[in-house]
Amino acid sequence: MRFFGLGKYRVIVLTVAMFLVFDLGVLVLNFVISSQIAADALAVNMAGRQRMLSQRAAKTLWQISERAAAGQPAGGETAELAEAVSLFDETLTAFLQGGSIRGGAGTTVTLARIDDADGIAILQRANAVWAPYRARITTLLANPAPSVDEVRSTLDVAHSANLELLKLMNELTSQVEVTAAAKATTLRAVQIGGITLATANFVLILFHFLRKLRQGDALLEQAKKETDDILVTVNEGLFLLGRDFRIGSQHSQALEAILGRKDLGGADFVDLLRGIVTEKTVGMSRDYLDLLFGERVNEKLVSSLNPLDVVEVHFDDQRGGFVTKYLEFRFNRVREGGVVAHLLVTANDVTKRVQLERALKEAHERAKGQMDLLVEVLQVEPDALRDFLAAAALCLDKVNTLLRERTASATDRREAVIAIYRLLHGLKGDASGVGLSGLAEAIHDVEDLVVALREKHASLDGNDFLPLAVRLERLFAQVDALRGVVNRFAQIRGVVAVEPARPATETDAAQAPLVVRWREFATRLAEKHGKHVQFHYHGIDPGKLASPYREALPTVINQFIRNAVVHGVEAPAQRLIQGKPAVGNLALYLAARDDGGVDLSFRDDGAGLQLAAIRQAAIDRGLLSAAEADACDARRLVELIFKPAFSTRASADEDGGRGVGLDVIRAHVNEWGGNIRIGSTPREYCHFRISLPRPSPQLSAGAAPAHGEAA
Amino acid sequence: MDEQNIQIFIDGVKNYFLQQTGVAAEVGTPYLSDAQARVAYEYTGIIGISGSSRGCVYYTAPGALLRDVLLRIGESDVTPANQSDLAGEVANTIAGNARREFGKDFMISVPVVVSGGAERISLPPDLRAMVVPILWRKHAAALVVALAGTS
Amino acid sequence: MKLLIVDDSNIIRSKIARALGSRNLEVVGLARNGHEAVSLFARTRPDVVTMDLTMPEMDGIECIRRLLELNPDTLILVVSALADKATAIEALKLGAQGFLCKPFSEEDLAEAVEELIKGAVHG
Repeated sequence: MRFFGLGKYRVIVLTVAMFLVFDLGVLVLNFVISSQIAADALAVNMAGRQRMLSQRAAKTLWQISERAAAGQPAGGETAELAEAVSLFDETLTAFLQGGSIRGGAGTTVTLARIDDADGIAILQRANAVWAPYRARITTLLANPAPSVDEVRSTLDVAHSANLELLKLMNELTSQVEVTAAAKATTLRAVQIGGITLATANFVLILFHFLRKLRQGDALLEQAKKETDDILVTVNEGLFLLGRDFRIGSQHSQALEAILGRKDLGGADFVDLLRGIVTEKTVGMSRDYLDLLFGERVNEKLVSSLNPLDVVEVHFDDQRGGFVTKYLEFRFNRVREGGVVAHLLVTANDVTKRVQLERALKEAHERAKGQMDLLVEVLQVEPDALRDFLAAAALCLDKVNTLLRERTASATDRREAVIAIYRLLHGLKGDASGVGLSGLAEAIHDVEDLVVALREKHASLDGNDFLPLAVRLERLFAQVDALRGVVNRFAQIRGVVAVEPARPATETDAAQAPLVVRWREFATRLAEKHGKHVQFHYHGIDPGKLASPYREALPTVINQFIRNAVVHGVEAPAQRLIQGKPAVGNLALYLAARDDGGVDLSFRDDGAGLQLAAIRQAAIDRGLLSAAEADACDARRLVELIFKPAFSTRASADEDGGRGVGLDVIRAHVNEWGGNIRIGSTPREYCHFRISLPRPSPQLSAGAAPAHGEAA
Repeated sequence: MDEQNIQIFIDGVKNYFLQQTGVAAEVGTPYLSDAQARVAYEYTGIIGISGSSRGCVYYTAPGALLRDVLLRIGESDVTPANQSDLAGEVANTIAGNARREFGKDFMISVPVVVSGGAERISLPPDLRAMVVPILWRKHAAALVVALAGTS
Repeated sequence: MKLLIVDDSNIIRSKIARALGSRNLEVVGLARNGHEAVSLFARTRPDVVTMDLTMPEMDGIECIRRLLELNPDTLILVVSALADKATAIEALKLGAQGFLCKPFSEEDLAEAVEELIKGAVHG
């Protein structure tokens, strides 16, 4: 219910109005009382004056009588007597009937009628005395020359009347005083009552509103406590953002942990973002907030553009690193009076969620990548693959060692380039040898870089090697990935293997994994070059060789196969013309000597070493002048094929023609302290024989064959 | 890691030496090091990188080099504290250079300096770091880039 | 309400027309690029426009600018891929009211346009 639209203030207005009414009442009473007291005081005064007037009349009469006795005429006394009588009479009448009379000093005062019984009785008695007394005086005054006797008899009346009047007027005075006192007491009681009421009212107001205030405060306190509880407890970062992009005075406690700092109240949100997200995101965030503070865009229809909806933030950890978190900020408009006054911001640390999603995604991608690798790897004999990967890691380590240690001078660097090239070339051959064509292609690309370095005419500085070092890291990563796949694969195979391992004998060494691999490689390479070959093997299981021969052997054999297939064995038509079978033969023999050394023999029935072609190639590559070449004997010419950058094949492809291959073999053999012998008959065969000593522990550690050039 | 990014770090160091000392630094042949074979001299200024690549980049130098640089730039106070400051300063230059070049794709931390052994430098595990030897007046020092995430 | 659809893809245009034509919206024009959109806009005076951002001839940003010059009260829903948030935000700064991310379902689109119109009435 509304009270003049005062609502909840109705009670206070009513009580204050009552307080005013009581106060006013008391004020009026005050006024009434004070005017009553004034009137009573006047009555007391006037009653007193009657006594004085009565006395004066008697005294004047006596003076007149004295003058008469002395035979003197009455002077001013007559007028004085008349005045006193007139005033006494007027006042007595006024006491009886009420009315205006003369006061002192020419004023007029109004006297209220005495209306209590006692007073009236006194006045009537006084009147009874006064009336004859006044009549005698009036008669006396009417006579201009009264006789002495006449005066004396009047004076006698005056004596008795005066005493009586004095007594009565005294009584009147007392009576008036008593009446006034009684009135004053009554009025004071009323006044006290009024003040008491007003005070009570005031106390009422005080208590009522204090209680209301206390209740209001308690409610506010309660509300604040609830808000505080929410802000302390809630897991999300909550705060209001003003139009100036400043954070409001209150925020949830979680926000400090989420943003990694305290003192957030009043902080500039955009400044806060700066330094933890990229500048680009800061710019977009500012634009987005502007849009939300503007009225034009539809809040619901732009939330997908929120640049801070899952944002990667980086907190400087003060130790040279970053703590990366993923935060999610959501913004909701808060309107006041129809205008967007704030944005309610909800911040969440979603790092765990994002990391989980990411881990799932990565796992998925890794699984997919591994699946691709697996498809490739599945076609490769696992032991051969493992050996290859071990050798590959060793080879890449050697390349890295060269980069690290053999690069002090420009000359060193040139030599390092050559050695690196040889290592990578060998590795590439092995990679395609085991059937890892993806890796082989990657290595081929790196080789291109090395070729560019080799052919750079200006002196090579360290910086020139940067792209190579970067690629080397990627090759390492690829090999690591393959090793990961193989290891996992091996675990699976370990679980499902049912076939018992057979001891390798000389007879089934021809079916040893490595041998099978070489056979396949030879066949595949031959097909690619439009040739037919058959690969024969005799000897021990190459997988049983001691380290580092076991790891490096595939490189050597692959290079022999490559050399024989690409350069040695003729095309089938050519062979038929020469009276040979269309299918070329490659024969490998591997034996372990009693002294722990190894003998290796590789023979093909191809074109043999073509001295003319070697001579021409030496001239083309600037290794020999035309004259020197002509003068060169067969032995020196044959040594040239072990030089780096020598190939008789016209153009480089993945399989040969880079002029690397035999120099890789020579480098290994030199490193191990072995020797190579060559036998060849043109159009009939080419035969390499390698003798290796018992491997030394130092070699097993895998030192780099950096300076492997043949003398 | 790609070579353009690493080159920017290298150029940062080269510029620093050329501009501050007037003597060019010489870049050695970069190679890879794993967590076991971490390269560190006496003072190392590290900056953290985040964003599309993450990890850290640091410049590490022996006290003798830093002392010579200080003398060369007219600083007579060659106490360890000042040497340490200088290593931080080089790292700071790298950071500034990188910020300018990489623009908005990277977050680069404020450099911190550690002195002493390599064990105080934390690198991401399973990561081969690129070590770029940087010689200045025959003193060997190195810039090490250990970043993952960029293909 | 009259609707203009601006998108360089035939498929998207007909998808939008199908989704919205049945919902109290009269499709008054289909534009393949910004130029077509501007001339169709001048002729047909639509209330609502769905706007692609990457288009040949005249892109969505420029087109939004021109359309709002012709009628600042036009309701524009940007319908684009999320690849470039910055461009979408640019479009909103120019005065588009909403954004719908491609790919979208017909329900998504209908809801977005409903929200767009509701927002304009109440907001």
